[in-house]
Amino acid sequence: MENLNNTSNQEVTSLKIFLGDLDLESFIPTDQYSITEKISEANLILEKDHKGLDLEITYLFNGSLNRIKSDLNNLKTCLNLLFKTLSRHYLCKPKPFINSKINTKTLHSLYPDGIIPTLFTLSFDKSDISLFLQSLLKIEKFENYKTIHLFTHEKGSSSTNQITIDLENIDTESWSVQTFTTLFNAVKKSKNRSFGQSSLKASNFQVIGTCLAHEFILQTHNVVIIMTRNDFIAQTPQEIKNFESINLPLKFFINQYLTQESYNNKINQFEELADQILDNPSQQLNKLEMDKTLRLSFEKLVKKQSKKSNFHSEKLNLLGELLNTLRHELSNPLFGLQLSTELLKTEDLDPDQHEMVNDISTAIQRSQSIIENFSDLYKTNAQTESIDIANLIQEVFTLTKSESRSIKQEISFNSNEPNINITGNKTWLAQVFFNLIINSAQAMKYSRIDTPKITIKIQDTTKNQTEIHFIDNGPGIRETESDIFSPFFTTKTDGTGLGLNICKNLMEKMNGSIRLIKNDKGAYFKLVLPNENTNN
Amino acid sequence: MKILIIEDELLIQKSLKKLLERKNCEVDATALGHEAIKLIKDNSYDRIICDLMLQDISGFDVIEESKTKYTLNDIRTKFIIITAYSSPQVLEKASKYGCKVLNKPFDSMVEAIQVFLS
Repeated sequence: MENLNNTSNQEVTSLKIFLGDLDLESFIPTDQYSITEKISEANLILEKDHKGLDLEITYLFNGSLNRIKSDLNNLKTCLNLLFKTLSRHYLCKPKPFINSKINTKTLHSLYPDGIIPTLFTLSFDKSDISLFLQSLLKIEKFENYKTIHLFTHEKGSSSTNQITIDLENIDTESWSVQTFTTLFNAVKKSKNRSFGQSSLKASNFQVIGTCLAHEFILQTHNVVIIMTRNDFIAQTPQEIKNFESINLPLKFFINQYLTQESYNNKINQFEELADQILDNPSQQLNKLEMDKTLRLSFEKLVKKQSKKSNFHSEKLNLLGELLNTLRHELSNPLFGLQLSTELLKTEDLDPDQHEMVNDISTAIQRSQSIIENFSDLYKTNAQTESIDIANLIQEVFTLTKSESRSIKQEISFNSNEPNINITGNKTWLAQVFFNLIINSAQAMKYSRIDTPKITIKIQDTTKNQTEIHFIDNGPGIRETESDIFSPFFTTKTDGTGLGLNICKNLMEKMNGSIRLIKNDKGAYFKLVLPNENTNN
Repeated sequence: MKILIIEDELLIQKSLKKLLERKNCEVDATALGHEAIKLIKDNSYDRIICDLMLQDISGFDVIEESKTKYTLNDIRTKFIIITAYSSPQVLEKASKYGCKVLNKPFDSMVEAIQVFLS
């Protein structure tokens, strides 16, 4: 509070809000908002995942706290209006402001520099550009305009595209760069946007009627957008003004779509290339037609990744084959042993001999169940069945006996019911426990824990879900949750780094989840599973 | 009762033979499919216990050849398939011949013997 009081004594000199070249007045009449200084600059940025359009507003200010607060409130109102207008105009699904709460304390902590980078996020669902253009035609202001032509030229590309759209149809056409440039310059020179129809007539663009047009120079593309009336009635000054007022948002949206498109293209190219390289490693990279920078980054990635991932997938395949072979080769002789011991049991044996034969018999049965369990684990078919969780965990402990022998196991329930049954894929769930137990056992062994212990708490929640808490008293997990669940992340010298990633995938396949829980001592995983699971 | 065992795992073959002999059966045994076909041609067996994965040919080949070449009747009652890999394909093929299938290892030895002798 003390600090806050200090700030309120400071002089107001200016409030600057950067809104890039977005002119708010073109969206909202000025009488609906008031801000000390006219919003002059805004930066529109793309969200990292390219799923939406974000408006990032950075403002620089100076002044008393009260003044700032009131300005910010005005700004909030203004942005809300802008947001509503945008979503109404462009039929976008609004997402509420992520960060619209203004915290004065936060304000103050950044105040000494005079810069507070508060973000207001406007997001719009991104869909096909044709849908966006069609939504423009539905705007009342442009009801006389029936068709939109969008000409795009990706810088450096040898051809250009035309998309022609009305409310029913979408056509595409391709033009030479020269044709595009002629059109682009004609639109650019036309001051009132109702540029000479003659320049269109001379070409074969199929643009009919009076039109409104604008050209944009974007980062990766040059663009011309033409809206036509399909008749020859002249544009009204109001229509021209309206068209002008949407130019900037148009530019943002088109830019976003094109960036997204070229991003997608690159990803596709990238994947295609990856397939080609992996199918045919001897193929020369430079023989493939592709963007130079893309090739460079790909080469880097290939160098880094392919060695590792090839190695691991080979290792996995090998493991699968090995297990299959073992099963084939071991189960028959084991059965032979079983039969012959059965025979021996019926012989006249002295007690010592009899006991020995019984021991052999038990050992055979255990070996058989290990093989059985392993083949269950690697069964590919995904069947749901009723699972007694505690029983399953016990089975997995048996299976991991070589690793978990010296570990104290404690399985507890939150209810009086000693066994909780869920419906799901037994194989998958067994594999998850298998990986957790092996990891835990190895970590505790490696850190020489005196009394290693695995505690498993099974809780039936009211939400028709079962929670399984898996806790050990080992060295714990220092890495972040996202790290440990990503593929090829390992802290073991000979690990594949796939165990927990597989766990996560399997849990998700069962509509469940696995989370790493922060714990002072030992590793703590929380698994949640729906009690009824259909697998798909 | 005269029984033929076709099984290439010797320990299984020998043990089964002994078990069945104790039940007063006359038992022949072989590990090879071709030899089994010869035996089937020259003898009249009440039961043929047949493994599927043999060293030379498959158990189904033995069944097929016995059926077509020697017009062996009663494939259905005579052949009992024992296998460690009862995939759906195996089960389908077995049901085409109408043969019983027992999984190795047997769930219960007593039941298995009953099936062999019934």
